[in-house]
Amino acid sequence: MAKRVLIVDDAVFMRNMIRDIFSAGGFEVVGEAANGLEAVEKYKELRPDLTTMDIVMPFKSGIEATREIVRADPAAVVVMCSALGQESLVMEAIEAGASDFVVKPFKPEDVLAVVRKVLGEG
Amino acid sequence: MTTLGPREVDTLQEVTTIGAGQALTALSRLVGRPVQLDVPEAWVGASPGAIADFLGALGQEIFAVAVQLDGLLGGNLLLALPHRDAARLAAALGHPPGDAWNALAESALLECGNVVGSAFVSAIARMTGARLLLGVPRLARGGGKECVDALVDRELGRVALAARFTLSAPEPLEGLVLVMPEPARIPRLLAALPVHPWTNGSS
Amino acid sequence: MDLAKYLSLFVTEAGEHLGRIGAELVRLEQAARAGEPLDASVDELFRRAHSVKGMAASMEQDGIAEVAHGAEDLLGALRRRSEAPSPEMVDLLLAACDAMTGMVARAAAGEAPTADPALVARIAAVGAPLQAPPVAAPRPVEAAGAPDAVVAAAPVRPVEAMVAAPNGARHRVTVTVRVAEGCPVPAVRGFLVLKKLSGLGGVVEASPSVDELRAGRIPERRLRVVLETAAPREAIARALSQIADLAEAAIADAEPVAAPVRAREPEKVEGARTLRVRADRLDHFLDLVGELLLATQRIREVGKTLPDDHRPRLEDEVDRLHGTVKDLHDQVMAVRMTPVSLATDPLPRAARDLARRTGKQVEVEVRGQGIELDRGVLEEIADPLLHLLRNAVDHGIEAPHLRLLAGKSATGHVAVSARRDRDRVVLEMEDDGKGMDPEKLRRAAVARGALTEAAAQALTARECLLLACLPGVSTADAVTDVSGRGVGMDAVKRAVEDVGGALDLESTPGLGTKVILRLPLTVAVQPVLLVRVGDEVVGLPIAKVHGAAHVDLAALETSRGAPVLPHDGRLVPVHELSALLGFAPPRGGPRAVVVADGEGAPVGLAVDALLGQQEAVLKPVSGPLARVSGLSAVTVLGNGRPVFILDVQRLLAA
Repeated sequence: MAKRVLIVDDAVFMRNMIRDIFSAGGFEVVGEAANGLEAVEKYKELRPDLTTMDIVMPFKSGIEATREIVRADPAAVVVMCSALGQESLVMEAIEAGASDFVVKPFKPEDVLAVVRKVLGEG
Repeated sequence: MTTLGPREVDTLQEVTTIGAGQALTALSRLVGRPVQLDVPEAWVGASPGAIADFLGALGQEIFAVAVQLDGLLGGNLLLALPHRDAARLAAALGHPPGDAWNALAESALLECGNVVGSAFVSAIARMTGARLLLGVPRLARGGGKECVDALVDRELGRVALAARFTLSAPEPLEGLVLVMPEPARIPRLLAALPVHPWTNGSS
Repeated sequence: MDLAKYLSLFVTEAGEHLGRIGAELVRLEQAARAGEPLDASVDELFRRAHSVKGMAASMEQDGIAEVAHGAEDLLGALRRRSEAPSPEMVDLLLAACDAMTGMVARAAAGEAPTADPALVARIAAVGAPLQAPPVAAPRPVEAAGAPDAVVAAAPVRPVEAMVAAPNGARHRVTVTVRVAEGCPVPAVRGFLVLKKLSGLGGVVEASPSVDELRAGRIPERRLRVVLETAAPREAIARALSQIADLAEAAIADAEPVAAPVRAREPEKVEGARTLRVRADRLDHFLDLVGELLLATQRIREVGKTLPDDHRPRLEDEVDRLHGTVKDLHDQVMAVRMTPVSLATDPLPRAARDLARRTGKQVEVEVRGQGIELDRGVLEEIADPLLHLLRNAVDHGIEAPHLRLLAGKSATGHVAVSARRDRDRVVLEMEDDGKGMDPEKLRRAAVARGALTEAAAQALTARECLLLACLPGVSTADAVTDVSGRGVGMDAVKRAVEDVGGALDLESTPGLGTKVILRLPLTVAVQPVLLVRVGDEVVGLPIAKVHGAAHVDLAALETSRGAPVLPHDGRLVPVHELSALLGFAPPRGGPRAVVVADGEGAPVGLAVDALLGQQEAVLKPVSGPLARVSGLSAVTVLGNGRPVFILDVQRLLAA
């Protein structure tokens, strides 16, 4: 059965891109969120197997959202989507419970590799 | 291949923030609407053409306008928008493309590229005291990878400082400003910038 | 490398280490006396000395590094031999600690002080006998077994199939990973690995350390972690297999640990992050918040002049605004909240030094160091606390032989405790010394001329104790230079009251004395009672007000020429506030009396009208106004009018 993914990013084009990557990779994209607040709500509603999380977002950052999601569900798998220069933010996210991260500009196969590993699919 | 350390990344981000800020203020005046600009992100790829490949992962057609930069900062500045957002931008400028993109709609986008590029270049010139030259804007349309490849040599297309911009009215649209400096020329640019306390000794 | 910008960081961090070293040395001595195990303490001291040495060396502060190196060597030898330091060694290490603290202060001023050769020589001399080859068995080397390379994903195993190590014993493994070349942020990848490993056990050692990873440093993209865990190898291997971008990963046995692990400080990836903020920045914040509050009140005032149909909406919004600003104020105050330990940490060391100098034995126990107080309050009472301690050691605790004669232990005890009591923090310092004698205090007060014989006789034993807080009253058998010429207690009481607190004393002759400080949690915004005196409006801090009532003065009984008001079961003398302030006498008409703290007992202040209670941002008076006795602060009302806040006790004393 396909793993379910929630995509969180404030940029429409990023959500589109990540959605295309995951759909092509055999995942089922079950929801999208454009900021940290929506992210937490959608997570609780959808309980996806995986969440991709942008770091800098309005209303609530990806780090805060990750913290709340992991607090609500310690088994949550959250992969941060970052760029160079955001290293300290990624580490904060890791401390807040993020399971892994990808760095732009990423290749679709890299993203899928990280995600499959973190979900224990090898 | 030049590697970019944290200090270079910080400085480029700062330069882009200031330059793109001015650039989008100019765009905002052109369109007559407020424009929001995100904090620029540094996209540094490992191989040539990384930026083109990355945008290629966008499974949709985009419009991209590029102006070549020359002088102290060499490289390209790109304005990239997904098809629908490009149409809305053209419309906001008074030239809705309709079903077929006509020359007027296209020239509206080219004009955006010019305005954004000029403002960017002026801002950098003010910061560094050096002159920068701006090339003629060129337009490309198609898949993300094709567009960027058509506009930017892959060897020079490894690094981009990307800032997303959005307009909320009349119709919401989103696009990217990509400052793609030529890696080999970055050290000269950094050397010409006024010294900022936080960029010293940060590596 | 330009060292100057790292200087303040060095000063702060070295200062912290040195403070902890001092405290730990004192604790070590106490533990040694009590026959408790010392290895953990010696270990911590060794590591901290090592840290100071490293820091100083990288700051090119060779003098500090030299002293630290000497201390580290001595502690290292003690550690190797599992020996306790002699009192002489502790003295020497404390001296080294003090010397380094002084040198750090000089470094902060831009100097590069050299080490005192005599000190360095003494430390080396004292440590020389210990440098002989240790008698104890050498630390076991890392198991020489071939590392098991774990590369590529391990198949997913159901949780139940994982078998823990035999009888769930904790074992140590060394995990080495190398981050793949293609990863643009290898230090972050290393950080992730460290975090995941720390979820499986305790990280004993990490190289590079977590701080270096945070700074982006990971030499050769390689990370080595020594992990103490009860999890089996398969679990660790599986965890590693789920991390991307690792070119290599290997797990090997480290030294096995059979005995229970001593409570070490494992390098864990901490969840909570802290920031250092300059104290004056917080003060500035607080000022700004104060301005916001005043501005809100001014808007409220303007609102009152609006026509009725507009007013309710404005008032609603202003109320909302006020609520938010108060929240902001509370948050800023919360940031200013500092643990009491800042003021209590120096106490054990100070007691030890004092005790040594006076030939006594004293132990200080502190409880509740985590209780938080406003930084401003804490700063004001830090010195008074030290003074109270000096009093306790100097005058309270008896010499050992006298204690033994009295049936007490030779070592005196001072217990310092902090606890929250609603909106106050109660700080108590209790000693088991000889206590205070109310009769002696009574006589001393009368002899000093502080009060008449008759008045003195009227005081209860409890009130007599507070006489110790009057200037110049001291019953010390000998005035020593240690705690001053009897000027101490009144300064302490004043300092406590200046921050809005109260001091109380309890004592039983022969058994000991307890000083109780009740301190407010916050300072800057205080509720004040506004009263009209003639044409003027003045304020009284609510903290000092017991009550207020509308009173017909003519109907009051008089006692010794002054009217007295029955209040709370006693008769309170009533003074004309206008007279105290030097204003024109009252015009008559309905009056009110405010009962407030006076000198030792409540007093009544007759005023023309009670104008209500208000929260005020109190600003201290400065310059010529500060010399006017009785003025403690000034605030600005919503209508822009400045109002002085009175210090009743000083007003009465003037």
